[in-house]
Amino acid sequence: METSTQTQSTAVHSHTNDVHIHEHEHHHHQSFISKYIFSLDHKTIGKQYLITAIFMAIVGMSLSLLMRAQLGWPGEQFSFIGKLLGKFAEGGIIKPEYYYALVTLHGTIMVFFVLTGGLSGTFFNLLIPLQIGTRDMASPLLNALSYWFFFASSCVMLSSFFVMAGPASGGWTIYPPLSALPEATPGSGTGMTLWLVSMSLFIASGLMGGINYISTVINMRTKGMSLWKMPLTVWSFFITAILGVLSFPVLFSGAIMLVFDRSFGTSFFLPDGLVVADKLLNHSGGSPILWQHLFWFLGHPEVYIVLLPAMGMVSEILSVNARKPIFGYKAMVYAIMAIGFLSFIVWAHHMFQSGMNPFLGSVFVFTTLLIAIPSAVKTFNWLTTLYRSNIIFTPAMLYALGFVSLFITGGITGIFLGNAAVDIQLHDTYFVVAHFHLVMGAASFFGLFAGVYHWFPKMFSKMMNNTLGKWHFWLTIISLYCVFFPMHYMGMAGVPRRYYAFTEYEWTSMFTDLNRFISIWALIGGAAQVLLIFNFFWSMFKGKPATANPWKANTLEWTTPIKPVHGNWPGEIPEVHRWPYDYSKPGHEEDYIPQHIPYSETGSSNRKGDY
Amino acid sequence: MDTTLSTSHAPAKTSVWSGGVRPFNISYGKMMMWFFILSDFFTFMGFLFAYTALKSSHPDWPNPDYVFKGFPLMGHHFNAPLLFVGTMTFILIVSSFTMVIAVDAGHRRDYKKTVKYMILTILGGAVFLSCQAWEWSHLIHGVKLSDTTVKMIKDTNGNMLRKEVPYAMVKLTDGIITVTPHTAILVKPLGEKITEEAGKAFTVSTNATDITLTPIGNNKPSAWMEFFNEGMTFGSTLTHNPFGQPLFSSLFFLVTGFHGFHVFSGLVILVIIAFNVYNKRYESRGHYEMVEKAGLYWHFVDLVWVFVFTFFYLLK
Amino acid sequence: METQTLAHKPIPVYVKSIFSALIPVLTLVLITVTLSAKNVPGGTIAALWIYLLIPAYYVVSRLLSGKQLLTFSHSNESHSHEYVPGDEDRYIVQSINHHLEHHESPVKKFVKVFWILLVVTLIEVGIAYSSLSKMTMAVLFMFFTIVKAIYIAGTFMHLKDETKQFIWTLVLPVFFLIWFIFILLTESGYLLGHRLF
Ligand code: HEM
Ligand SMILES: [Cu+2]
Repeated sequence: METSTQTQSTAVHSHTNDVHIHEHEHHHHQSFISKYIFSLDHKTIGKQYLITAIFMAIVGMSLSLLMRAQLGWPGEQFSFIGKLLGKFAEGGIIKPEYYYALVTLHGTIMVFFVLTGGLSGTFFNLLIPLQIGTRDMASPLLNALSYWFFFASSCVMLSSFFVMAGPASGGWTIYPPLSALPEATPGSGTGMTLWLVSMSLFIASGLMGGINYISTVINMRTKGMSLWKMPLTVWSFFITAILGVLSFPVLFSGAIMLVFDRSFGTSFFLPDGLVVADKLLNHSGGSPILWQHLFWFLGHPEVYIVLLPAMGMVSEILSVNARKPIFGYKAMVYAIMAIGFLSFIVWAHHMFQSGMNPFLGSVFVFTTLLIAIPSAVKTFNWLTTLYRSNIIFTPAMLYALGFVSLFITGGITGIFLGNAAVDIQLHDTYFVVAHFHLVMGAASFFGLFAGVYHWFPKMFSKMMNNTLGKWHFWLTIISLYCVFFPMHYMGMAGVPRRYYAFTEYEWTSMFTDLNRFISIWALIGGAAQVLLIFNFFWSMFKGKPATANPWKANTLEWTTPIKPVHGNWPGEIPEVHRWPYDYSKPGHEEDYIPQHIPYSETGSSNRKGDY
Repeated sequence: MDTTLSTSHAPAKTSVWSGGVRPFNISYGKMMMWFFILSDFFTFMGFLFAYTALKSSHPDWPNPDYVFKGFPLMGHHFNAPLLFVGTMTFILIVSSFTMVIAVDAGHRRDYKKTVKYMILTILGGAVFLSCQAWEWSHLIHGVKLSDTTVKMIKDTNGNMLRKEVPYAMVKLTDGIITVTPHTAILVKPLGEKITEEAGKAFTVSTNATDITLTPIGNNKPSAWMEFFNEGMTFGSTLTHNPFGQPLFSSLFFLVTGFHGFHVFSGLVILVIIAFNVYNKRYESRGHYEMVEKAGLYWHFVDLVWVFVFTFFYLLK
Repeated sequence: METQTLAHKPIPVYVKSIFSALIPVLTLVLITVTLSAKNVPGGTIAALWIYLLIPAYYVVSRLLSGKQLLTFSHSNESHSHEYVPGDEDRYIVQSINHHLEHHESPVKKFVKVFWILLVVTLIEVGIAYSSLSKMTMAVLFMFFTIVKAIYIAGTFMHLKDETKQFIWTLVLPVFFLIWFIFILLTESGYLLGHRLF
């Protein structure tokens, strides 16, 4: 038995080696299609995600600018909007129903397609294998499938712009009855159906990606890459992937029930006594609040699915460009875990005013406010990392700093909103819009930007233009604050969100000027993104060639060749000997020591307790 | 600066987590299968929790013992709750058992035995699906009523009064009847509410356990006549449920359908893999892990059934 | 070279013991206080405290004893499961063979579990026919369901043969579901109240 096992296994071993070598040679002559389109390589898939996300971001941003045009100049006739939207904006004035469609698709595209699919898809794929030191994802095939499902779901979502009655228009949370009754509003028909189809594809994509990321991080780390030596990027990606795998399925079950309500006449989410067009509906017995529970069981983890990867990348970039070890590495990891844990037990803070059991409000106030603890841990650790450091102001670093600023500004208001009593006044006002845009939308976008500027050399072997990057940063952050900060005041005055126009009452129309101010800054901010897009595509072809380790960073991805190869490292995968944050270590002549440098080579800087 | 440390450098303490090691001693293929299963479990729990939430907020939720009491070929008066679904459970357990044997045979690379037991598993799954088909059609075709005077068993919920509608919802063995002090109205036997007036065709007498409806005269409105005609049947659909709250049957069809879909896809996977095993596709890999992964999925389907069984059939 | 822990000033034993005693006591007190409050669904509150205080207890006690919060170590095990990129098949063959060598034919075990599953199902059916109260039945059903689930996952899905940490990886997330159902039940009880009165 013993011997036969041995021979068997060695036989298999040499066999797989053959396959591997064979694969290597095979990859040199590939057609454009198999190399860039149906690629199984994690780096290419990451780039595919990024390009798709950039496209979706442009769409999402255009929608917001259309909304801002309406809010800033209500009733004004914009002939180009009329031409663009046709019957949805006759005479150049957006129709109220279409405004809701804009709100909905803007929220959906930004949250799911840009900041979940795009952000995670890009950086998880690019960085997980490179930073933990492995040749590819656990299952490259599933990984590619995951992208193609994402692509298909993006197409379906975009296709809903072209249906007769317009896209879904019940808000990105698609609360019933608007979402459950096809006849409720124009967007509740085909548009809503497409929304649900698209989200189902999206969930399938997320699941395939998620199990892949988790298994890769658990199983495939290179020698020496213990969990406590993983960069915070990988830690945050890992926890994020877990959140996704556990929370999306619950939305999936909710979505299926919604499909049944819509198409097969059930009443899971539809209560008695609904009247549509003067007709009493047959539905009875369901509970719209049940939908909200199912949705927010995903929804709240979702905001951290959006935010955590940005936090991880920002931690890494801050440390690299401050040339200092991240402050409180383990505390950072525990904070990520704590946020991940808590994000599953706070969801009903979105439902304080929904008519749910008020007692639950008090439970959820408590758990919600607990999140402030790990969030504060992270914030203070970022600040202490920066404290007395020699900051190098690369564009990526500027964005990382901007992230910290936005996270604090937006996070503070979360504490107000987390109190059920305060939320009576603030719920569904512009205060909420300001809060979540700053803390989730803008902050995560800043993480995304920081990541793009930082890892662009790794993706395209070229450097981006710094000057353009800095202009982009300053224009973006100034316009963001000018757009979202004033919204707090409107919200406190009670101006409700998701309203088409505020011309009706004096107490809302007194904000006309402010609305115009916001809209102008939104336009400036939107225009500023042209700088990024130009910079991105221009640098891809015309940028300065990248050096092997342009930021002098410690993590493993910078040990790969400048021109990426299939399998990442042409030779052996480097072994890891130290944590990723040995910056400015006393006694070492250079101010960074990459993770793969053994202690035996850094005698002058070793300290007790290093290993 | 402690230079002595660096020269006499010993390797760092290693553990299964220190990289270059599979910490769980498990291949990534199997691990991914497990995480998929975990995720899918959450989907099922989303459904079952929705069921629980809706159920515990409705006073007129049917008692499964009234609903699932038939057995194939035993006629409409057969009354043995859980007998049929118990049989279905048994079949699924058997197929799980044959699957586990197939996986074990696969480990030993005994391809003939693997195929044999996989075929048995497939048979078990197919029988289970057929049972489900029977149960669905039985429910959809519904139950027959045979008496013109209906004797009703008052449920513990029978007296629950609504504030705004002073009706009692009374469970009949074969239906639900809303009773006011003077009239009885059958709620939605065939989808529509029968008018108040029609309800006046009956007198209602109640005692501690029974409610008896007696038709007044012979001029019964047609809807009622239909209902009380000898041999009249009515069944459950996604939207209608003679046993009480329609959400019960909506959820029943939804969740057992979703589970049945899992069984079906499991069958497809098993057929493909059995075929591959038979053609010795996995021999070149040196192992039959595919069989094991398919087995994991199959057992998961069984595992979920255990929960469906509890939530839909057992809990009252 | 041993890992050097940072020099701690040892925490006096009495401080440790007071703290360690305080937390379970506090938990119990809080649970009883909230349970005895009026109009408050006790289950949710209990779940809340258990949810938060058990991790808190873990964290505080680890910190007090000067240990790290999480140690990802698992020694005494030969690293036969070393990971080398591209040798997945060899590894699988090896671990299957290892398994076969060290375990005798498991069929007997499977037969046993088969009978257990059958008998438990029969017991459940028996309970359904009995005249126990609804509540008792519910508790028994949930108990037996979990028993069956454990046997299926443990033996049929070979989860028992996996490492302890893997088992916990799969089991811990289920606690989120427990929290979820507590919330939903609290909610639907409230809704039922509205429907009835
Ligand atoms: C160019 C920057 C942006 C502008 C000018 C903008 C503007 C707006 C406006 C005007 C609304 C509608 C508010 C209302 O009427 O209630 C809105 C809603 C929303 N936005 Fe943005 N937004 C921007 C970026 C983002 C980003 C980056 C995200 C990603 C998280 C995002 C997520 C959302 C969400 C989730 C909603 C709510 C949609 C709903 O109510 O269903 N936005 N945004
Ligand atoms: Cu939230």
